[in-house]
Amino acid sequence: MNPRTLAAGLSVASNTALVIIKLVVGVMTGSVSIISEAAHSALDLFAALIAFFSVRESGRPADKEHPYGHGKIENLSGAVEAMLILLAAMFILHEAIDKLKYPQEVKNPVLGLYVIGISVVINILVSKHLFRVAERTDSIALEADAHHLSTDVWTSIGVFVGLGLIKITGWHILDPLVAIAVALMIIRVAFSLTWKAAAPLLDTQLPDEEIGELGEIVMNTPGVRSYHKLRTRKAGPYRQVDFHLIVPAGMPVHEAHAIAERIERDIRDRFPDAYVVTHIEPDEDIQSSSDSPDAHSAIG
Amino acid sequence: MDPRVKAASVSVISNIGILTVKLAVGIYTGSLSVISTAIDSINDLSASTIALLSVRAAAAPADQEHPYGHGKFENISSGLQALLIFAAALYIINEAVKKILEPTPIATPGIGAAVMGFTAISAFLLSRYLLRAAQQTDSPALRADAYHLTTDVWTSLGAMAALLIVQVTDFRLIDPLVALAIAAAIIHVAYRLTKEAMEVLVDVRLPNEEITSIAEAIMTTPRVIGYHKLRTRKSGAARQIDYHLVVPPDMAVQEAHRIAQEIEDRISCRFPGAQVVTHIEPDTQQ
Repeated sequence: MNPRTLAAGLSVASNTALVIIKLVVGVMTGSVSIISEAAHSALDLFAALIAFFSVRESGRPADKEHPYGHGKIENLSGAVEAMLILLAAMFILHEAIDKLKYPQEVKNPVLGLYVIGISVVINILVSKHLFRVAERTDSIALEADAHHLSTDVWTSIGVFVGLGLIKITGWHILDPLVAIAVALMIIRVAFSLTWKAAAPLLDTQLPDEEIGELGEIVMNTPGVRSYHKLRTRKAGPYRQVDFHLIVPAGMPVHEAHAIAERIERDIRDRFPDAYVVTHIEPDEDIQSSSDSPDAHSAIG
Repeated sequence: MDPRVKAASVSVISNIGILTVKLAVGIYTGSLSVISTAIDSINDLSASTIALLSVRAAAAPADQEHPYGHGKFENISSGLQALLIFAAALYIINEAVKKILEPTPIATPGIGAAVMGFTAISAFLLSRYLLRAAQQTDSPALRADAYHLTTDVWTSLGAMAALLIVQVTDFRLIDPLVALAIAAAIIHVAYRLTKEAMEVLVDVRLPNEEITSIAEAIMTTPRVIGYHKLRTRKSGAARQIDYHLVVPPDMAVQEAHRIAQEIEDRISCRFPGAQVVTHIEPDTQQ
């Protein structure tokens, strides 16, 4: 199994377990707050399922229907996941503001605290693992799921901090105030995640360092005169690259093609899974083609 | 002005006009139900504003940051607009369920019907106009806005019909029932729109007819031996195409490039705004 699918599967499994534990404890003790914790984990489970299906899809090779591969499914799922995180933050804000308006005794049964404690520990472990696999496999869907779980951890820790502070000071207002602070932090994560996941949906170019590296690889290949119109974009973990390679006008096609192949191989050595398309261009035509309206040379 | 930006601006201005009329009538007559229909207009106005922002962004040429152009802004916007249509349907369902659970007499039916009629006619005219502009410019953002307004026409006509039936038969329940049926139809539209937007966002290929037409443009160009690895996708109105062109291995680059240029011109002629990348490949069979 693909490491991404495996990691996403772990998140589905751990969230399923949390939902079941919370439901069982909630029903056995008749505690509404524990049952509502179960609802919370159900939302996490939903998010984990989205991540799971999207990494499974994105791992499939390009086919007739999706000739550029399935990587962008991860970006869509990342954006949806960011919206779910935002939704959760809105919910926390709403609850906190309610509590500010109608102050009430904060009562959390001891058993409830144990349940939250267990879910914090599990979520920390799973989100750490997801972050690691996300970074290694360059997967935005896993990263989004990891963020989702870590915002849960903050929420729960916020509950503990709130309870602790109330114990020390006796001020019940501290509970909603801590919740609001946590919600604001979560909203920030949600926005930056939305941006990170959605930018590739708009075919935004790769980061400058990577473009610099690509330019270097092209120029370091023997026989290359120059290049222009380098275009880059990303779909999930996959980079899509195309550029115009300039060679002497009289060079036979098979020779020029060998140079292009070499460049494409070198790029794939540096960025595995990159798709590269080389347009071979004779050096005499450079002027006329860069006059065309949609022309824009990137570097060089 | 870009024709898309013009059409989207007309939509924004019309929606502001409709909203103003509804608020003015509602406040003047003191009719809460008229004021509450202004909520629909706020939803419409948000959608058309999203459409306007996106077509303005999409009209900008390719730049350093977005080397493939800005067409996908339109597809994101039609996805967001679809969400707003979903929201409108959910709002209708919520209202209808409330009415079923706690029947309330319809206040000021005369003014209500007049406002519905006004909304239906203006939304109908505006949606026709937008649909035409969307077809001419192949703009998904404008098409989404047109669909949104079409669902408004249904809602208003349905509400009017229900009002009439209530006047004649005094069968109150017909109002929420009609609303539920319309909400179902609206959800269907929103679902289709979401699906369309998502497909383009994940780089689905062009429709079969267009792919055949591109293949034809390649193969009818003189001296082409063959091609393969044709890949297509769409970004707003712009088609993105790349393929491998097979030529004799000893052909000079200059000549091969001329053939590629000819093919690219033919494709752009058939599909204006298309961006084509040709990869020249030596024929290994020779």
